[in-house]
Order: sequence, then structure tokens, then C-alpha cells
Amino acid sequence: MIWELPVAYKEGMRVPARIYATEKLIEQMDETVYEQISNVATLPGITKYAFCMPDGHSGYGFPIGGVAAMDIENGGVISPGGIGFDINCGMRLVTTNLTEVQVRPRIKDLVEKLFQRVPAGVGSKGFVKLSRDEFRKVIEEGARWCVSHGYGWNEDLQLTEEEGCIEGADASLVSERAIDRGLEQIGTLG
Amino acid sequence: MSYEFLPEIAIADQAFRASGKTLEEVFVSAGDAVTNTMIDDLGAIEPKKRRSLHLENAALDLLLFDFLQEIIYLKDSEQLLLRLERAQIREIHGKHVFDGELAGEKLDPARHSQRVDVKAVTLHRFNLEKTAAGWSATVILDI
Repeated sequence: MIWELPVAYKEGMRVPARIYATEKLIEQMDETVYEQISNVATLPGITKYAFCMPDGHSGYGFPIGGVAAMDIENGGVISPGGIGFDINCGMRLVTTNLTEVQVRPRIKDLVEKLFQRVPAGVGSKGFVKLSRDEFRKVIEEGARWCVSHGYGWNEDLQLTEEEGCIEGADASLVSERAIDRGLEQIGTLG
Repeated sequence: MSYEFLPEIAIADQAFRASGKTLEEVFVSAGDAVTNTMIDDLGAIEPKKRRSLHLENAALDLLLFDFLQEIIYLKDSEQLLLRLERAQIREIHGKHVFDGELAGEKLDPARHSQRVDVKAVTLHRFNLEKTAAGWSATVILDI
């Protein structure tokens, strides 16, 4: 079902807000969802509706499950809250030639192996040691840097948004302190 | 001087409330809450290394924010786990000024049982207020 909050719901709403949910789901949603999705509806340049998907729950600024399209010609903004703070955080969909029958009995071994191979957690360090200049190249070249240094395959780039490198990246805009934080963490997860 | 974690506030992140009789105490409590989010036993951190910290901010709550971010910065850039030993917070020419001495050591996975990594302090529901008993801060950490 679609539930709608009209623009009269809150001062400043430019478009109505729509929540997709069954009756059971909407009853369980916390009130922050209404607060946050109606705030999204006030953002400059928002088109038609501020949407909230059935998984809606309290987020930062946007609710989790919030969706909005912004028209840049109409004063639209880029909202980090809408993009998501944990985007790409350790999530991977990997196709293999293995079947469920082969994988299921060995899931525990697989997860343990992943933990061994992928450094993660407090103060974790990657196996890639880079100079600050080289680190800036990684910032600008993205996944292409990884492939050119043997940490991936060309096919990986074909399956990555913008082929793993968004045009116009300018590492000179990244602060020295941010680089201090990232330098040891490259090659880790999280 | 104490803190408590608030699991009901942030589902996927870590929220806590820190309190203290003085402003300095609430900074100590909040700093410990950040480090305790990452490490099980704060008592296992030995005061082998020291750092002095000087921070200024026009807003008092943002001074606390800056201090907590600094703890995360030192953990990421130097793998240092630090606790605030002494602090002084003054108001000078309309600015809030923090001077603190931190002590601790480099993260040692063998002795410091790890919990979750803190990526940032968020401003979501961030609050520092004077209470009848002293000072109280509510903070949500991005983990």
C-alpha cells in the first residue's frame, strides 16, 4: 500500500511524502520515519515525491529506505544523508560457479577464511604500503589504480560504476589529516 | 564521572550518555566511552605514551565533538588508544578552550580485546547540557 503525507503535514514541504508499506509494517515504523521523510520533502529541487521504502527506519537526516530525486536545474542539492554513510561498506555480490549444495556445509570455513584474508576492525592495517603521493593517485584513479597494480582484473572495472573511477577527482582537495587516517587503512574493510 | 551505552537509540550505530560533576569530567567520560566502544577493557591500556591536546571552538558542544574526533583521528593515524588524564576547559575571549593531557599506548591486538571500530562522531542528536548533577552529553558514534 502507499501512504501519503500531504504538503500540509509540515511547513516547508515542497512535495508530498509517500511511504510504501503494508498495514502491519506501517504500524511498526517508528515516528522518526514520518519526521525524517517529511524533512526530505523540504529539500531544494526535490521532484514529485519524497519516498520511503518498506524497510524505512530511523536514519541520519534521511530515513533508511528514503528515496528522492533532485532536479539540479531547479536548485537541487546533493544530500550525503540520502546517499548513505555506509555505502559500499563491505557489501559484495559475487557470482561463482559453486552450487548451494557445495557451499552450505562449508559456510563456516568460508567466513573464517574471509576474516583471515580481509583485514577489518579497530586499528586494522592493510598489506598495501603507500607513500602519500601514491595514496593521492589511488584517490584520483580509484579501482583502476588497483587493477594496474595487480589487485584486480579488467573485468572488475567493467562491472563497476563509472568503471571504478569517477571523472574529476582532485586529491589536492583532501586534507592531510584525512590522508593520515586513510594511509594505514587502505586495503582494509570498513 | 560515568557513561552508559544506549542500545535503543541507534540500531546500527553506538549511542552513549556520559556524565560528570564538572565539564572536564564529562569530557573524560565521553572519551572513555568512545574508546570502550572499540576496546573491551580500558584497564588494559597502559599509559606508555602521552599527547597534549589544545582545541578551541566558539561552541562548547562542538568543543566536545572536536575532542572525540581527535581520539578517533589518533586511533586511525597512529593506532593509539588514549585516555584523558587531565583537562582544563576555559572561556577566553568568547571562545571555549580545551587543554588536555592524554595517556595510553599503541593498539596491541593480543592485550586489547577489540569490539567495533568507530569511524566518526555524528552530530545526530548530539547534545551537551548542564544538569542538576553537573554535565551530561549524548553522542551517537558512526561504527
